[in-house]
Amino acid sequence: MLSGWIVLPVACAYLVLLFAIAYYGDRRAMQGRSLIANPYIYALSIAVYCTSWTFYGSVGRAAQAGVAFLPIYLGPTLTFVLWWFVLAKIIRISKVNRITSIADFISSRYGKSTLLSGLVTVIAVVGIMPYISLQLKAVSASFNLLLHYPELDAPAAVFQAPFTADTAFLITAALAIFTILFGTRQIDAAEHHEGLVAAIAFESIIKLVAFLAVGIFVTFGLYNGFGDLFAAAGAIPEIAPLFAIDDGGYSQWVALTLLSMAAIICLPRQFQVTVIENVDEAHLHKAVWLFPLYLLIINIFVLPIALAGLMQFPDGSVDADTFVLTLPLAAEHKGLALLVFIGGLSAATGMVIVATIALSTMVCNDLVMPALLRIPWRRLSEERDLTGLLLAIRRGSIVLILAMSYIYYRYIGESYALVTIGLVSFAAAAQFAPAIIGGIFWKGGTRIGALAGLSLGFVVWAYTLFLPSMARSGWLSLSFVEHGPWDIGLLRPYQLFGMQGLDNVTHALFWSLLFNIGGFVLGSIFSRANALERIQATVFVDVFRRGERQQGSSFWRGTASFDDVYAVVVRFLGKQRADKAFEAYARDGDFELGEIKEADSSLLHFTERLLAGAIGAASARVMLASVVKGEMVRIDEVMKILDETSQVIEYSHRLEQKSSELEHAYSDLRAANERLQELDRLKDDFISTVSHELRTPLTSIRSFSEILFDNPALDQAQRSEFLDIIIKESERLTRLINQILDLAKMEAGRLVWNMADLDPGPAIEEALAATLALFRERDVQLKVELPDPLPTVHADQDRLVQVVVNLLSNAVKFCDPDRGEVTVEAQPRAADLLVVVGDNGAGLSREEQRRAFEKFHALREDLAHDLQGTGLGLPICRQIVEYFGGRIWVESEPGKGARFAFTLPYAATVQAASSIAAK
Amino acid sequence: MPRRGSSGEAYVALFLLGVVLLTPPFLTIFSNGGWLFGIPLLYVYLFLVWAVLVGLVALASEGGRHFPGPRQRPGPPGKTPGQTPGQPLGKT
Repeated sequence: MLSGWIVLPVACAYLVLLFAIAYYGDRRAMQGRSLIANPYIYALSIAVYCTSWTFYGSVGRAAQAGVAFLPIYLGPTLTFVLWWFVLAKIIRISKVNRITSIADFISSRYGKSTLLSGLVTVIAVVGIMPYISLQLKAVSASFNLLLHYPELDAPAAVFQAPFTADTAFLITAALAIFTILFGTRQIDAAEHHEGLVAAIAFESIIKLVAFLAVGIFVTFGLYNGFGDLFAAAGAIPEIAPLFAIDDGGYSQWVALTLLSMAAIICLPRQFQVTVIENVDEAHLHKAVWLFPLYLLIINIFVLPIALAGLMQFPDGSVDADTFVLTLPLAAEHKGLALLVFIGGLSAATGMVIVATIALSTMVCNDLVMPALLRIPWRRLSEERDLTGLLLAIRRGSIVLILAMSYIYYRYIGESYALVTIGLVSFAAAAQFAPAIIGGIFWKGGTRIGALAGLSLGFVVWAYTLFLPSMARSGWLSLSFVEHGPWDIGLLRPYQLFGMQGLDNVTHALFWSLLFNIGGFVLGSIFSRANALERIQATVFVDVFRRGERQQGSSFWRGTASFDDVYAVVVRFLGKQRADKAFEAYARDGDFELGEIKEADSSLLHFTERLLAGAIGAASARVMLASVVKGEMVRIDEVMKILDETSQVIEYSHRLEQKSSELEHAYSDLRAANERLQELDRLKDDFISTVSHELRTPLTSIRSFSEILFDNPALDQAQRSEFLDIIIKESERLTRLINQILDLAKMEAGRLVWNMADLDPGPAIEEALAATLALFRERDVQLKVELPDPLPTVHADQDRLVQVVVNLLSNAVKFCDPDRGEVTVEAQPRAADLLVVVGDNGAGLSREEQRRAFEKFHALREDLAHDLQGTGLGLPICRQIVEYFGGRIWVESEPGKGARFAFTLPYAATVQAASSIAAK
Repeated sequence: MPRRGSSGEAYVALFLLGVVLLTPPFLTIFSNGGWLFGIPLLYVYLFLVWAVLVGLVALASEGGRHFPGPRQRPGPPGKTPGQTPGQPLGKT
């Protein structure tokens, strides 16, 4: 038994030392020579994970269940193995978004919802309070043990003492003062507490040293090393089962591994030291293996100490949770016992201080301030300096949290072992895991989903773990635990819906996470994220894809730098239009464009309208909304959203283009159809005309033949006259059929052409010779004016003759009947040879000229008496000339004769020569 | 071992290894009450796997010296870049 006069001063001295270290750490930080800017301090500060639960409770658990205490430390090791994907991402996100707590992290991810941050804060406070009270219990129990050993019924005696003598109360008060002094000295947006971190790291060293000291003392002092100790323990039949895991232990093993994997991130104090207090991301490289190493080392002696305790106190008179202390005490090693006490004090105070600071930050930032800012009569949002108020709220909440924890300890915590209380808190913290992990990897997670998941998980946790613990402490009727509320067996908290065979924690973890994850996923799927949520989802999930630029371009309290606004406008309007628009804006407002540094609300409004013109009002509104609500939204995210919109616009534009193309194609099709119908009609016309033309000579041949047949008595003169008509009509019929065949072949492109470079002179001469008889018969004068030599043209000799013959016979037909005169001229021109066949006949009217080259037109009425005409001569001419590449037309005035002209293209060589000559 | 440009596959592999070796189906092999060097087999096994895992993580992370995503300039300790001193807390 140690005298209180030794224990108390040592404990006080230790606390003073902590004060000194924290103070020194803060001073060094102020001087810019940070004490904690190295990975070792960082790793040690993360070891705040090892609380008095580890220090005292692990041994207690090992004494009951052997190696089953280990999953609580293997889980964090596994999580740290995955640091690259989880921790690194969370730290980067928190740095980029200046996250101040786990509540801030979750609410920021889901659209900066104050409802969500409040819910997280409430869950954290309710969930962690038992954990803090666990530390108080451990400290006061160890203190009383030290004073009263071997009178082991000490706790009962304490409660009969006056209130002021209650050690737990004194320790609570001391911790409250310490926490207030070093946790709320100033308000720093980054929430760094350098002095505090230094003190926590120091405490981690102390507790490790103290625990190793006991371990070495037990293993090598009381026994001769591990082999001796284990051999002695193995010889005792009650202890031997601790060396294996019994069958029921496996489900709990998995559950506890999972639970601690989540807890190492989700416990508010771990989030605080690992994420918020991280000063350099690079420290993570060392911390990811140093911290698991620390866990490994501090756990090596847990089982040996537990076994030794079981063997030293075989009657069960000593609580296994106190073996760490009672073993040295029983061996009369007072110095070692004192060191253990200090180690336990370190473990407890470290946890209490960090957890309280983390919780008070959350209560202040995420619960009280949002509420205060919404109360209109306080007009808080208009006050400039809120620092004093913030500090007061934080100090108040620290006192409140510690007071509540103390009350919990006094009235509820007594009935439980350390580990059981700790697991209740772990299960509460694990409720944050789906929202956090889902939030940093899944953009689809929404505010509604997170709210649903968290509240369902919290309710199930409270029902299956927290309320039963109240009941077992006598604060609620136990029948609710044993028979279910209103005696509904299915709702028994420890066998919810009839599930059996699991221990309480595994059972609660299963149900709460099932409801939590289910609520989160379903809620996210069946709800729509608003613009801010989508922005934040991108900020969080794509944090590593973002460039360096992000630092400079953040919106702050509804304003943005002019340069960034300008950049957005330029991006969507182009530099020219943007410059013009802003210049006009500056002219209207009568100020210089260069003077604008911050875009005020009127400029933002102007920009919105400007953008709305280019990308639609909705997108422009998204941007404005993000500016007004999201004070931390980066320009990059807005850009991303706007990009998406512009993609949609582009897409719809393309769609429009496609549909107009379709429309175009449709009208083309319709035109083609109309043309086809027209051609069909023309073909019908052609056939009916051809049949008519064929019938005329046939009719006359037939009627004259019949006359000859019926009247054999006709005289010779009449007979030969009729036969002459029959022959002529037959010739005409032959000609007609030949011409129709020619034309059809030409039109179908099946005629064989013998195109060659030739002198047109002989062709024209040949045609003149062929029609000479006709001229003589009609007594028509012929004037020929052909230059000699004529340039070579590219044509088909026979077809050329056919053209000229056609034109000549036409001219003979239409020239003046009395003093008929036909002229043939050829004029070499720049690009082609012009050939003209003229007559001095009645000429053609404009309408006749237009129709002269149509098939079967052929001025039929005038030619009723002329058996030569077929009406196909001129159309054939046109086909031939156009095939040669020339042109044919008629010039005429009524009464002044007609001139049929056509052109023939030169042969290639002549063409080149003549074009050179023209130059 | 993650070098520059790595996406951390080594850690996934180590994590899966850890999960397999440290959870029941595998644990049952060693949870038979056997002894090794005078120490319970399960105890030796768990700490051995644990130590090897920590060692491999140390090799991977110290060898890589690399952080996912673009490098963030570390600000002066205690101050977040871009934050003007004395400004009231931004996130309330």
